[in-house]
Parts: sequence; structure tokens; C-alpha cells
Amino acid sequence: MSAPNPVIVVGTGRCGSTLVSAMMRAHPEVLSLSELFSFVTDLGSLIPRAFAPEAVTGAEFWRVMATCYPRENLLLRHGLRMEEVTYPFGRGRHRPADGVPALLLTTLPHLDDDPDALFDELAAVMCARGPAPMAEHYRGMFTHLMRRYGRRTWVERSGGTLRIVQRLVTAFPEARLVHLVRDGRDTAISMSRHIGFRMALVGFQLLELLGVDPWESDDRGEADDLDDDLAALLPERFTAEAFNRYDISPSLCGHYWSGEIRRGLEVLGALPPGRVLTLRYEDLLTDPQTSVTRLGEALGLGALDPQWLQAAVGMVGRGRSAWRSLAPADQRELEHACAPGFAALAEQGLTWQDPAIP
Amino acid sequence: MSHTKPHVFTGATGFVGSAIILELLQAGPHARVLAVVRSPDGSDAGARARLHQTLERAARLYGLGDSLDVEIHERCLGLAGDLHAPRCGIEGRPEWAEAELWHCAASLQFHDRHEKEVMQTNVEGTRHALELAQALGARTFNMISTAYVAGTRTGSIPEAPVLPSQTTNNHYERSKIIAEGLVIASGLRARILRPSIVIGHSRTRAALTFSGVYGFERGVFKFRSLMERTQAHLMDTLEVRMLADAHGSLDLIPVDFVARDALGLSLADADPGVYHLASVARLPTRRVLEVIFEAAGLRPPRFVDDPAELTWLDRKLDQAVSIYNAYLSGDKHFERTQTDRWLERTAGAGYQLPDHELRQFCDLYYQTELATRAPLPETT
Repeated sequence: MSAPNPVIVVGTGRCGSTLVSAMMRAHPEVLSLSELFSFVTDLGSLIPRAFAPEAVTGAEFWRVMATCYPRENLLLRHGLRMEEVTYPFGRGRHRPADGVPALLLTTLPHLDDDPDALFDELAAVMCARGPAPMAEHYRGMFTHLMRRYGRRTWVERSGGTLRIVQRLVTAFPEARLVHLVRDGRDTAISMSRHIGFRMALVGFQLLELLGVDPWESDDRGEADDLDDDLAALLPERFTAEAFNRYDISPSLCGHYWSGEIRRGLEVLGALPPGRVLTLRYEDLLTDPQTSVTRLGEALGLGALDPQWLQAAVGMVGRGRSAWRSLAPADQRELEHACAPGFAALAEQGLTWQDPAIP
Repeated sequence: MSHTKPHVFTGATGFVGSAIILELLQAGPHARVLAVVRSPDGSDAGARARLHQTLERAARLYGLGDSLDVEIHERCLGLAGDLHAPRCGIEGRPEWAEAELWHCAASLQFHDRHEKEVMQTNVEGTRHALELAQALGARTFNMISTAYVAGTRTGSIPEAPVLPSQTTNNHYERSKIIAEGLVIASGLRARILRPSIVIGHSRTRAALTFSGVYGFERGVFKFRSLMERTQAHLMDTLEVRMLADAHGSLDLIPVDFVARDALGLSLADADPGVYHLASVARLPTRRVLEVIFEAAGLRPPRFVDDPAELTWLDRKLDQAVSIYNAYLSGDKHFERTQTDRWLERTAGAGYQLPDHELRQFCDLYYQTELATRAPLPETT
């Protein structure tokens, strides 16, 4: 029997995809890879090296997996723990103060109760590999894990991977894509409150205003262009209070969401129709049976396991929509910001109640 | 008469100071320049090298080529000094008695976090420059201040000491007001010279350093880049609103005009007092902002006067350029009656700045500073 195609779940982030990872984790034949691409790119800031097309040794690949990246660990050091980070602090060998390797933040704890041991095992396996493109090494690592856990296929899901969908499509031409979409207004509000997204957007601002990545360079030649609030978030001055106080509005996230949707649809729209399944998060909430069935079928594993289907459907909560609770002016701003994204989705036949399209 | 006197400078490697020195070298064959310069290695040789390199560079930027190189080397002496030290770290010498002292050094930092540093440089630095003037027995103390010590005042701004009750927009303005007060209280024969918004050279458009309105342009440019990273092509369609007096005007003056007027007052041995080195032809704020926005690749802004009309993105832009709000809020007309009384000919008389020339100033800044930034990492 030929191996089923792997699946990559893409979305803007804060679109309900974590729930999909949980469902995949419960599937007896699926290796559920959670937040791999989020954390090995340090929240999306170091993307090119994670997808380098040229051949790198297994040890070099492993360095990308095993680095304690500065953004993620700065947050942890300051007690700002994303809900996705499931490393067993206290029981595991790492402490927030010393840094946690990217792969150990979520991906390995999602697979095993002893992620440190799994990490060591993978290190030995991956470092022994010869030169190959990054994508080959990823496949090698996934294959090792599938064998170890007796799974037939893998499903990767990281928050916000619509941003790198072109790289994913190129690196994994064999993969099917599941595009999870949620109402941009609720997504944007959720992003504006999420530690990881806030950090990513702060990173964008520091990068553009400083002219360098402040986590990669000590050059502060353009620091005078930072206002006082943003200057307080430089790595050397960072405090949790300043981070929590920093104003990231839903409308900024709405603009970001629109951009990601438009960029993502452009890439996904160029793929053969059978390679992409689009699911609306709201449909998952209102009719989980149908949505989970479609998701299960996309795995290409044959007849659906009724036990898994029942368990997965049982994971679906009520969800909540927050955008209507914004003040009218803020709602209008958010609607305006999300309008381009909604317009692009409408062209694909995806519409929402109270559409934000003027 | 002043041609033969020594001229002692602080801030000689700065935008205005270097321009005054170049004017001085062209004005007559006898003027000698002594510049107190921060030296990279603490030595006088290091200070001299830095001074000469800066002046040569400025001369080339301002279309003078190498015509002043010999004058720069023979008539400009650099001494290692420190604005933060008493007397700027310089001992008096008899040959510098009766010098014309030019205190041009200043910090142009506007952000709150730099308040201590700005006060240190602009207030304590002025105190030390005054000590130096006293130690040298200087004839006149010329302080380069700013017309924006006017703070929040609008309308016609006289060439007069700032009233103690004057409110300000930022601590930079406050530091300059305090420094002016020190100069007046010193009892020295002093001229307080207040340029308005200094831009590049009137002919070449070039500038040795970029601050003021260039900082505003920089803020707009970076705002655009930031929004583009948030969503590609976002700013192609988005119209931003700005809190600004749409009917106001901006007073932009090329650096060579500032230098020529400042030197003109010195050569005319103008009485002690306050002098505005402002433009004779102010520009409508709306026009200037539209040109700057266009140069940065943005649609023209919409002017509003109620903060409640700003969106979050508008406020973000406002924040990026807030340190320049003093330029945008309220119309100021800087009188220059005193200045013109002493000058045979005002440097900027008849000077006009049509949109396409204003755009050249913006473009040159963009090409030399902003477009040359190293490529930023990809985040897609």
C-alpha cells in the first residue's frame, strides 16, 4: 500500500488550528507535528534558514531545530509563556532562564511525555545524516518519528503558516494543504492579545525602524527612530510590563490578516484543486461532524475511524466571537482593515454573516 | 574687522557649525578657526583630522569641490575637547583673546528617554562653552539656538528672550530655553541666533547631517515600510490622517543661508541680542507634507484637527513623527527685523522653493540615507 500524502495545515494563526493539532494527535495513524515551523523560525523571524534549498549537513539541520531562539526564550525568561508552549518545566531538564530548544517548546512535548529523551534520540539520528536540502532532513525526521510511533502519515500545523505557504508548497510538493479560515475580525482580536503574535508584530516594528534585527545585531545606530514605548522592548531593555503595556491594536492585526489572506489565496489558488481543502473555523464549530469528516478524509487514510471521529468532534467547543463587543469606532476600523481579506475570500465563495465588505 | 579675529567653535563638525566655517573661509583670507572637537583617540591630531575630513566633505556636498582644502588645512585648527568638561576641556591662550566664539554644539534628541543626555549637552554644554568664552576673554559669544524656543506660542514670534511662562512641546525646546537663559545671565556680549527648520544647501540640496524636517521624512518613510511589512501594498490605497494645521506654514531655510546670515551678523559686529535666522518665504504646511508623503510613496495625508478622528494607524504615524509636532501645530511667523537691520543683504532674499525643488531635497535625503540601508531579513 502506498504511503498517504502528508498534510500541512495552514492559516493566518489564531484561526482555530491548534484544535486541529489536538484532533490529529488523537488519530492513531497520524504523527501530529505541532508548531514546528513557528518555533524553528523564532516566531517567523528567521524563515529563510529554515527552508534553505541548498544542501546542509544533518548537524546543521539539527542546529536549526535545537537552537534556543532569542525571541521565544526572551518571552519565557520574562514569564510570558504562550499557551502553545507545553514543555514540562520542573520535570524537564530545561529552565526558562537557560533557554529551551525550539523543538522542545511544543513539537516534542506534543508527541511524548519525555520530550528530553526524544530530543536526544533525534539529535543522534539527525546529526548522523549527510548533506541534503532542509526539506529532505525534515522528511527524514518525520519518517523516523512515524516509525517510532507507528504512524502512517504526518500532519504539520503551526500558527501563522499562511505567511510561508509558498515555501511549504515548494518544500513539500507531496503534501496536501488544509487551509483553515476564521472570521478576520475575531482572528485579529485574538492576535492582538496573543503573546506570540504580539511579539512577531513588535519584531516587525523593531526591524523596520532599526534597520536591523535587534536579536541578531547589536547595531543600534537607528535607535533614535524608536519611540519610547518601542525602545523599551529592545532585547536589552525588555520587561514583561513594557510588553504587556505595548499597544497592538486589533485593526493592525486586521490589516495583517487581510495581507496574509490575500497572499495565501494567491499561492493556494495556483495549486491543483485537489491539493487544497479549505475549512471555515465557524463551520467546525457549528457542524463539527461534517468538518471533521472532511478533515479526516483529507488525510487519505481510507475509511474513517469512528472512534477518532467521535473523539475529534468531542473536542470542539463553543468558540466565541469578540469583535461585536468592540466600541463602534474600533469596530469600524477593524472592519475596514479586514475588508480586503474578506473580499479575497468572497471571490472564493467564502463569506461570513455581517460581511465586512463595503 | 572680524576677518582677523580668531573664531572659536564648538559643534564645528555639525550641520550648522561646519557651514558657518565654510562661509568664514570664503569671506576673507585672514580668519582663523579654532575648533573644539571630540577626538576619536583623545589627541589633538585626531581632533584635527576629524575636523578637516568633515569640512572637506561639507565643502564637496555644497558644490565647493576641493577649492577650500588648502584653507581648511592651513586656517582651521582642531583641538581635542569635550563639551561635558569645564571650559570644554580647553585652556585659554593669549592669541585667542578677543575671539568670536560660536557655540554650535547641541543634541537634537527629542525623545523623553534622552532628556538627561539632552539637558547635559545643551544646558551643561552651554555652561561650559560660556566658561571657555570667559577664560579666553572672547569678544562675543554667538549661540546657535532654535526659533522653536517659541514652544507652543503661535503667530508672530519676536526676536526677544523667551518669557519664563513659555510652554514647550518637548525637552529639547526646554533645554534650549534654559541654555539661552544661561547665556543672557552670563553678562557676556552675546548674540543668540535662532535658525528655523534648517534644510540642505540651497543649490546642491545636500546636507552634512539630516535632522528636523528630514527626521519627519524619515518617520514617514519608516511608517510606510512598517505597514508594508504588515501587509504588502497596504499603503498604495490607504489614506492616513494627520493632526496638523492645514492652513499653517513651515519655515524652511537652507543651511548656507543660515551660515551666511549668522556670519553676516558677526562681520557687521551686530549688537548683542536675539536674531532669527528664518526664511523670508514660508511654505504652506500642506504643500510640504504632500511633497514629503509623495517622496515616501504615500498618498497625500488628510488633515484633521481632532485627535478623535485618528485611527490606530494614524496614531502610529503621529507617534512616529510626534517629536516634530512643534512644526505642525499652530502657525508661527518668526520676525527677523533685528537680523535684517544688520545685514546688507539677506542670504535668502528672493529665494523661492517650488514643489519640484522641495522634492529634490526629499529625494536626495532618500537616496543618500534611506535607500542605502542594508536589505532587511525576509519574514515571508
